[in-house]
Parts: sequence; structure tokens; C-alpha cells
Amino acid sequence: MNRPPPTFAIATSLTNGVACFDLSGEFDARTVPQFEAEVANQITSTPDIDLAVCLGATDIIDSSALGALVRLDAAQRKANQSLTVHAPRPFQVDLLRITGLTQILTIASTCERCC
Amino acid sequence: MTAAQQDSTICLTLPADYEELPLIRHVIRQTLAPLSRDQESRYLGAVTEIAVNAIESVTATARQRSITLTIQLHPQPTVTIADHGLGIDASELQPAKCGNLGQGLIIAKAAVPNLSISSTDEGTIVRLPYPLPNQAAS
Repeated sequence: MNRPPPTFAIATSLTNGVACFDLSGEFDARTVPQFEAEVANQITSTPDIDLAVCLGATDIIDSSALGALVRLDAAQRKANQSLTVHAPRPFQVDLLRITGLTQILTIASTCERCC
Repeated sequence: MTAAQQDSTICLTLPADYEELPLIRHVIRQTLAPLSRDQESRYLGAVTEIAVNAIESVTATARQRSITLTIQLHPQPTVTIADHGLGIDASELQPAKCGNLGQGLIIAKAAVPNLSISSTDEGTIVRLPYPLPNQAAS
């Protein structure tokens, strides 16, 4: 059986002092390490920077991915920096609400830059 | 199980590895009727949660390091994921071991409210009824 092609991508950009990660495809337990490595690389090259993660082009998100966002948010707060989650899709808003993360994460309903 | 029922069922035994998650979703997409984008994201997100729980459950044991994906086509399309892990406490919806938020089952039940769980200390079987066509456009 042919394997399906990789379905997760990260486009990273630096805009007005904010590192932006535009995610597309399937953000799950399998792809969380790729996301965290990309974020770590960015923070290493430009430390003490605010972060934005755009979910508008993601098809799948699971609790592993939500956990990664929570860990990143906690690390940013500890460093006196911010994390904003942009453009969650309707089902993702439901997941964030169910898990109580709407009260923890900073969420912007749109992403003017990439969505 | 009758021959007709066997003909309408697809069963795959897969390694208990996160690398199998795209394949699981791919097979479901290719086998069952298309859903709207949001409906598919909700359903396959739930399948992903259950698959991850199954993978983590068997990885924590010295038992058979595989999970089973079964797709029943008729009469009610249903995806079933089974493992030989340590089981879960379905009444409390708490995974026995979870490397994520620990809320995977809660999320899955929110996305597929009529999923059913059968779990013992010999393993877990989760059935996720596929949305009916008239639910697909929601």
C-alpha cells in the first residue's frame, strides 16, 4: 500500500517583531515534534520574541497539538513574551472551549497576515 | 460473521506508531463517503485521538505492539480501533497513560458523541459511528 504524502507544513516568517508560524495540514502527535523543533530553531535565532501560530489551514488538530500550544504558551509567559493563536477553525474553537483553553491561550479569531 | 458482513469490512493491523496516523486517516477518507471539510476534521480528529490513545496504551506494555483498524461499510459505516493495552477507565473518561493534555477521550466524545468504548485490562475497543449523509453537510 502506498503511503499518503506528508500532510503537514510550517511556513515561518518574522513580521513586526513577531515570529509567525503558519501551519497547514495535520497537526497531531506525529507532527508535534516537527512544530516544536521549528519553534525552538526560531527562538534560538531570535530569542525574546513574541510568537503567533496560525491554525487557519490545519485540517486535523488533536490533544497532543493542543498540549504543544499550552507548553509553548507557558514557556513564553515565563520569558515575558506572548503567544497568540490565530484563526482557529470552528471545530477547533469547540475543542479549545471543551478543554478550557480559551481561558488560557490568547486567541485571535482571524489572521490578517495569512488567512 | 456472515460472508456478506465480511465483504463489507476492511481490517488493517498496523504497528503502534504515530507514523501510521496519516495512513489511518487516508484509508478512512478513501473508503467512506466524503464529508464536509469541518465534519471530516471533527470525525478524523476523534479517530486520531483514539488511535493515539491506543498507540500509547500498547507502547506502555510489553504486549503486542500493534493496533487494529476496522472499517465497517454496511449497514452503518463505523470505524473501530482496537488495542491490547492496559485499558482505560471509560466511566471517568481518563486515559490510563497519555502524553498529551490527557483529554483525548473527552475531545473524541465531543466530536463523535455516539462513540462506544469497551475496555478491560486485556485491551480496548472503540467504535466510532461514521456520520450519516444527512449529517455530512453540517
